[in-house]
Amino acid sequence: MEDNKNLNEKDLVKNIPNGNFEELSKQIEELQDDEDGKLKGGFVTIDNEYDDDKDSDKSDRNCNMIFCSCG
Amino acid sequence: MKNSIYNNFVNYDNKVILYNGFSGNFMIIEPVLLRLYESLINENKIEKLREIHSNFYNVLVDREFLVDKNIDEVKRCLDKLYQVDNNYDKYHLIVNPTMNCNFKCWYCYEVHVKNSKININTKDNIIEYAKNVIQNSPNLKYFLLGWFGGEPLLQFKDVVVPIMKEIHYICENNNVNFSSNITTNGLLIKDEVIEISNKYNLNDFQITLDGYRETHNKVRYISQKEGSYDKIVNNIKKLLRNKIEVTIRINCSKETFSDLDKIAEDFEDIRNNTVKYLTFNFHRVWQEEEQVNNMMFTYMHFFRKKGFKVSSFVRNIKNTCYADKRNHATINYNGDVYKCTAREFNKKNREGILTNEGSILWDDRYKKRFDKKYTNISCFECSIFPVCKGGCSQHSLENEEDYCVYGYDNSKKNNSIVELLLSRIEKC
Repeated sequence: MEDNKNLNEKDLVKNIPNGNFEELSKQIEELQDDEDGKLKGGFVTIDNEYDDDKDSDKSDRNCNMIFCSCG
Repeated sequence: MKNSIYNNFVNYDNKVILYNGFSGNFMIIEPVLLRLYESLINENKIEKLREIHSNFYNVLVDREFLVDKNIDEVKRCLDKLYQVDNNYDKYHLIVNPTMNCNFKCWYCYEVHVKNSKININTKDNIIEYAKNVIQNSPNLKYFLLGWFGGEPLLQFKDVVVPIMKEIHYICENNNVNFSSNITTNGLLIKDEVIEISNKYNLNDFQITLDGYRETHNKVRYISQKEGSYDKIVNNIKKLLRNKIEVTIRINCSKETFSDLDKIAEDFEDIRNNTVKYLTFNFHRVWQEEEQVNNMMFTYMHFFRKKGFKVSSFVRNIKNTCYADKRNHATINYNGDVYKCTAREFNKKNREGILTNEGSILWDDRYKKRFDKKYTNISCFECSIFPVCKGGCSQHSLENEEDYCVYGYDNSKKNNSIVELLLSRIEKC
């Protein structure tokens, strides 16, 4: 599978470091297996705190979806 | 348990982003963990994960990446979308006071009608219509009045103020929350406009910049010698200082990308308590090729890094376009009624008419819009369906055959997921 970071940044004039993603990645606990063959770590969750309802008035303005051609 | 059909796995920066389109949950995992997960799914042994990596298993269940074996996910998703489109808590009325405009932007899809203006009869009918909606909708909590056009501020005093004042009053007397927004080019925002906006809760302006000063002024100019960029930027700052929300819509084309970062510099003096009222919204000009998107992503991240709110163009399942909703109408200056505002306001696209009794007579096109929505069956089991919803009802109307708003291109779908994640973790 192609790495989508490269896909995103293809042909870009400015390369802006994506610090937040790197920070999050650092929070991933190393994937380890213990003596019993049980695994731990290897992932990080992101709180679903982003309340899209708060934005609903904005989306009412125009859907702003990438495929929308609204004014 | 089973793997949710709405799970998306996207390789990014040597990690894997997991995103469930229905629940809206994200995780970032090591690629090796994905390989383990996929092999267990393929072997139909996902319950084994509970023994091997109980913490991971529990999180996958908790965040709905793994769902009950018996659940019909398509039905659940369609039910949710139906609920969103048929929400009667809120009514959204958009009014075009005029189809005239003081700019002639090259990409505008509208045909300007000089001297067009809502007449007294249509004005009364609009107010009567709003009154009927407000008084006859027992579940109504919010009434949102949007101003579009044409340039609505060309008819601010004669049309916008009297209609807004009246509907604001009707809402107050019926315990319905009223707010209003306006899509304007921002040139005609005088102190009086701000004063009245504050009085009647016109608290949200969308104003477009066509790039930085020089580029913008080539498209939006007052005269051959006078551009509009500085005036519009100053007007935006005035609104922000008056605690009125502004979305700066940046129309993106190859030309507008030059010096776009300088727009951020122009708003660097908007800080502290004021910056929260400002949102940037990047949008590709519809005639431009999709390659522009890559550059647009970069600038979106750049503005976020600078501490500005940037709205994502990817919406979760709870957000559909107003044109997809039952409780919405767009009334043109001449009393013709529409749903979508992204198409020319002509007889062909009309979906109803406003009557003298203050009601809307919807026609067959309106019925067809709702009949056709969610009929693109091939979309239903696509992992990104809860996000793109198979396109909007306008797409459904315009496409007789099966279609995909991403052109069946997985890399575009993946880019959308990455952008959604970044918008979530980079918000200011």
